[in-house]
Amino acid sequence: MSITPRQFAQAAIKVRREISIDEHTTASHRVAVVRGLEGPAVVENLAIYLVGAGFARAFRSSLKIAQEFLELAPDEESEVARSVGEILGQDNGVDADFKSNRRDPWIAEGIGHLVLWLSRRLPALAARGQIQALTQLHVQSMEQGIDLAALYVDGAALGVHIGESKASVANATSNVAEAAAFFREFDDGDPIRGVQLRNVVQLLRESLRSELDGRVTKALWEENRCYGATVAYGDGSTFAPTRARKTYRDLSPGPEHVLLVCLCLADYPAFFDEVSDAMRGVI
Amino acid sequence: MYGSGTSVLFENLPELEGLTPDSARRVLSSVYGEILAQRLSAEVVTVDDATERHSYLRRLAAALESYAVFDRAEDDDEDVAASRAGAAFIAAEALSLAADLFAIQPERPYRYRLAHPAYLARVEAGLLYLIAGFDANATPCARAVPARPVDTRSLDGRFAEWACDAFRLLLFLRPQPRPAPRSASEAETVGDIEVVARAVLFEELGDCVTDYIAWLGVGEGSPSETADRLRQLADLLVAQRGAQHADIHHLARLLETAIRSTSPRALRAVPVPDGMANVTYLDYITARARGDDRMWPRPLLWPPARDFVSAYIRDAAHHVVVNAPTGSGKSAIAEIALTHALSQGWAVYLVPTNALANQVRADLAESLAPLEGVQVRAFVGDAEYSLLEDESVAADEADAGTVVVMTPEKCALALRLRPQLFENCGLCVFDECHLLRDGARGALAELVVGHVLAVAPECRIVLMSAMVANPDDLAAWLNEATGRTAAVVREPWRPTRTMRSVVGLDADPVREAAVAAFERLADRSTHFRFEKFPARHALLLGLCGPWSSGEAEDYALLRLPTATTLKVSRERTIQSSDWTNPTTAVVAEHLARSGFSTLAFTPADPHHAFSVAGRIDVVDVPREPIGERTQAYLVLAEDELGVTSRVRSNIENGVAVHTAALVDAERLASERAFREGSALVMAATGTVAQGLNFPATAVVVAGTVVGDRRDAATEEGRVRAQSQLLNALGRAGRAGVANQGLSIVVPEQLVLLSGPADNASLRNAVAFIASDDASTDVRSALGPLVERATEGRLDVGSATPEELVAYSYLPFQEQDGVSATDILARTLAVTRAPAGRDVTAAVVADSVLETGFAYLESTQAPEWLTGATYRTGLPFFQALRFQQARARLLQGGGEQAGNPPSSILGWIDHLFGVLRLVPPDTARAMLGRKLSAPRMAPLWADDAVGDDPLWEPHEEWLGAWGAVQDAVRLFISGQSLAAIAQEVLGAGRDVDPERTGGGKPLPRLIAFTNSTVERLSRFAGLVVACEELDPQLLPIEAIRDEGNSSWHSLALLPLALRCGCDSESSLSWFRFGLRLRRPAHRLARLFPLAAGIVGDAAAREWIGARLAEWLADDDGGRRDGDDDVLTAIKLLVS
Repeated sequence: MSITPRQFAQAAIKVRREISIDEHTTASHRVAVVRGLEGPAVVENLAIYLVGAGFARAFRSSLKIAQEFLELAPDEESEVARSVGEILGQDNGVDADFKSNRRDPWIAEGIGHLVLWLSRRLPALAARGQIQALTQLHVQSMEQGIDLAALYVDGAALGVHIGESKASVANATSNVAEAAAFFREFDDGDPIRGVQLRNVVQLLRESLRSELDGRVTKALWEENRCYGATVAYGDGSTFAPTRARKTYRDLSPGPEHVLLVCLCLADYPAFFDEVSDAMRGVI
Repeated sequence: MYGSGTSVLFENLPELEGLTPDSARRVLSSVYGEILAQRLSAEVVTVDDATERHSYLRRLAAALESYAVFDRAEDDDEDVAASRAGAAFIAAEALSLAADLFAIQPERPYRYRLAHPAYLARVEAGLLYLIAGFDANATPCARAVPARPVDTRSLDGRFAEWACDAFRLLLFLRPQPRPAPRSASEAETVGDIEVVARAVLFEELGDCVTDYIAWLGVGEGSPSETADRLRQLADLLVAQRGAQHADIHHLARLLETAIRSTSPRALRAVPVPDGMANVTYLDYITARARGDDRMWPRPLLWPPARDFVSAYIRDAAHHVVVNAPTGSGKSAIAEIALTHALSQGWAVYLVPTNALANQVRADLAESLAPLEGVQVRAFVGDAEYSLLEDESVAADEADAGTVVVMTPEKCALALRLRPQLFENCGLCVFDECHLLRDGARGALAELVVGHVLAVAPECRIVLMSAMVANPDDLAAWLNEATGRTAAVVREPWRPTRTMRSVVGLDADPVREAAVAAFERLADRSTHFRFEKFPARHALLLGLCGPWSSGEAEDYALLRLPTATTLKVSRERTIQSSDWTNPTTAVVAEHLARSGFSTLAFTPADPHHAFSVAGRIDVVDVPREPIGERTQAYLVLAEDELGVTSRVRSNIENGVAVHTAALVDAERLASERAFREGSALVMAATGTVAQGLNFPATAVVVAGTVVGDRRDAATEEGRVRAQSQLLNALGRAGRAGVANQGLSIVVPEQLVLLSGPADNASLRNAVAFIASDDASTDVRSALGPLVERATEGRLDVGSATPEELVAYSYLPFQEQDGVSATDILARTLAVTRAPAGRDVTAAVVADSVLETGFAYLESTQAPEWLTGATYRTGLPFFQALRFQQARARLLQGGGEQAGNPPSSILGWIDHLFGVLRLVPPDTARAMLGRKLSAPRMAPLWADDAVGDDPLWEPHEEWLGAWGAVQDAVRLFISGQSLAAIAQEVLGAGRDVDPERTGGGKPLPRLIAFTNSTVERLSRFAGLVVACEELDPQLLPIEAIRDEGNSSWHSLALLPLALRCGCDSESSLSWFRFGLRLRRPAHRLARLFPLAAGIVGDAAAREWIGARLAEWLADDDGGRRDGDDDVLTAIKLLVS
């Protein structure tokens, strides 16, 4: 099962080749509607990416950390399988609540992570500039943390991308508003978000090329940032992805730098079941 | 809020658009203003926009932390390091102010404390304060994180909680590491690998903190290795790019920076003193760094101490002048200097007051205890001449290892009596050395320093003050006087910030209330001339440190909920005469109710402290209970007074009082009450400013007049007033408790405030508030003498008080190889004479001595009298009149040689016998302040004038002296002040316990015992010196014969009088038992000093043994027959 970074990178590239993106600009934000996720090849590569960039990488990171201080030799395959089981369930027979509250949001978050990864080559998926450092896709639920963050460079400016992902068959409008509320916490200077943002920025900056490091302090001073929301929803819902939204209108990065990535799924339940099965298959 | 102590931190910020020192200062201060508004239930009015301000605040925190800690260093030279330290400070301020402002509390359960961003932010701010060198500011950050760990059974939780405790210990700077928790079991390590990873990360983090704490406490380890481990930890997390551990990465990097920046400041890094055993020094440094229940840990040097070590030890400057603000750790500097001196010789520690001497002695005795063979001494007595061995530096103390803490006056006495003992003095620390500029006291202090340097040319001098504007001049003095290097440590750093503000009336509501009151008055009968109305207060806050700016944006207005009751007249005028003290009381009470420990200064009059205290009632506010020792002092205070103590009722209401008009037990009770928190307010006069440390979080200053209003018209009076007022403002700030303090000035005249733009009128009314600090140039008080001597213009008849000190102090002939020229050559006045003036010590000395001799010849004074004045330090002219009166008395045959007094009381009779014959002008000069008792009035009668030594006193004069003697007799016999008042003042059966005015019986009596008795005791010393040098009553063979009761009681006389004791027994109990007058009498009655006890050492030992027996006898409890006083005494001597 061992998935190397090269393998999940290749999987991501394959996904990129299969999907289509419709770009829209509204008065309040930009929109990228992503279609074509349900194709078998996409599902298969998506699964490789999610297992590789998510579970396997998280496991290896944690193992590497633990092994610095302890003598440990756990079995990767069984550990990853256990983690996948915890998040996805052993099969698709898990109850609906589990799917909608745990499994599907995690997969949507993984896709949000992939979207940001792909944005380096697909500017339509970039809320702003080009991503330079990106947080790892997390497996454990964070305590009120920031699920997804990255540092981008836009010309001379460096900034922070803050991401949020949501998934629901028919509540995309609420999901979009919830993501806006999340972003609003940063705009409002919520001190807790401030702590989290400082932590993640200072971690990511250490991966930057040295000529970019000097721009981080300025970025924090100028609060250079952009927001990217990823929302997965069923195609049959009443959600209108390209509409301007009141809740996005006054977000501090401005309409140019607030991106809503809409994952429009023709058969929402089937998609998540298929991705889950494919991930179990990867293991 | 940010004055000179922090200005350098703001001046070197990184270049970021819109970030300027002023804007940063303004925003931080403005946010503190918001916090004040919350705490004081006030409404805040500013020019700027709150949303923008908050945005700026969080950007300031994030960007400057990033710059200080995370930016990759390219040229980490000194300037960059200083700039980063400044950024760390401002980031810490921004983070902690934001945390205070938004008071974030966990809204939902969290797994462990470090999992909650609110607590993480506090730890973050604390570490940044350490990085910036503001160690004491980290303590409130630690306190904001709950002490109790969350009950967690998870592996990562267990280690996270331990790491959190370690961080708290580090921020508290308590180097007492705690053992690591149980290691991960095998079962735990096979669980979720992410949990295991997090656990090991916390374990490593906690381990690093613990190792560093242990190292600070002089344990094993290496800070650079610990810092390297943290860097590796951070690098590991970067490599894994795990956002889930970003918090640990952040803490690791902050901690790494904190260790690298603080370890060079560690106390343990101070080099071992020459000649001191390594082990001995290690014991000391370990105890000092770790602290204990009684001694605050001090593992790091604050910036002034760091600079001092650099100058005094590493660069080996012979002398150092330290100019650093109050509360910036000057006592730590003195301690370091002492540890480096004591292996070479003994040390003198000069302080301006006896109260401070006792405090310094107690503190040093505690902190230097681990140094084997070191002893710390202070004296009971004052400037009176005494032959008692415990009242001067003894020969066996002038050895290596002794610190003698004393006033310049006491030191002057010791130098005059036994100059040879100072030859081995290796160090002279002079605390509050700005005393040098203070008239006669300053002149004496300067001569003392010159004398020490003349006797001990190798002695190092450390001058310390918060108020010297010209430390370079003082260093040049020491350099020129000794030919040795003299460095200056000039460090405006202080650990707390003070928001300066002025209170006025909130214009609009006050106008409305006044109009409404006027309308009510108009409706009433014309019989009513006034109508009262509540005038709401408003506070104008200065946002840029001293009030030098005229821009409205540099000020904020707080509309307070408090009010002063004013009256409007039918002429539509507002009566504002009773504004200052009532407003001070109302505002101080509100501050106390809002959680501030508050000092209310009443600089105009010592009795105003009582009137302000009486208006404050915080009895219902939760506070610490009154401690049993405080209670005990109150019991003894009332025993001393003989009536109810107003200090008791004030303390019971939550208000302490500190003025010169207190009996000792009241003063001690007040100090304890405020320190322990049973009193939330201390109403105080300038006495508190004299070096005693009463940390408060708020200060209210009642008016801008200091002391006598007539002094305000003179330049000297203005400078002194400004200095005292600024010093009072600087008292707001309590290191380790609150990083910011609030000081409020109540102007003399009420002023209406509408908004921040009203600053101009206040800057006019309270001009001193625009000054940055209280420093003024220290000029030699002997300067005029030197000038006149050089020009040959000295004239005894027109001598200033400073010149009189020189005449008294300088030896007319060489003493132990030291002449007047030797002393003068080492004074500030001679070494730093104004440019162009050719001054030599020899010329000045010759001029002084010739003038003195000429005067002596003209007076036909006996030759020995110069020796007597030299020993006692009394002005020659007073001593001469005293001797002439003494000669008349003895010639009169009232007392005969061979039949001398054999008791203290007998010698008191002799003293007053002489005093009655002293001519009126000199007698009044000797007494000093006027005694306001009818029976004593003839001493100040218009017809009692002249200075004829053959003056014949009339009956009224003799009666007046009789009244003084009666008062003294009652005082030394142990009567209560009320009893003395009844007899001497005719105060009636029920003595008025009021203290609010100087005319009341108790304030009059206290002034008498504090001032007049002190002066009389110095003349008692002159009686001793006269008998020594010109034996008239005692046969010469009796002199210095301990067994001779006459001589023995004479030797006791000055101190007995000073301490209020009439027997050797009571005086011994005072000196070696409990330093309170009536308790000493009580103990003497209970345990009379056994016959055959000779000498101080024997008396001290005997009393120690009696006390031990007494305390052991009843297990510390109350025995049958013990009354409240005895119970209190027992508690205080235990």
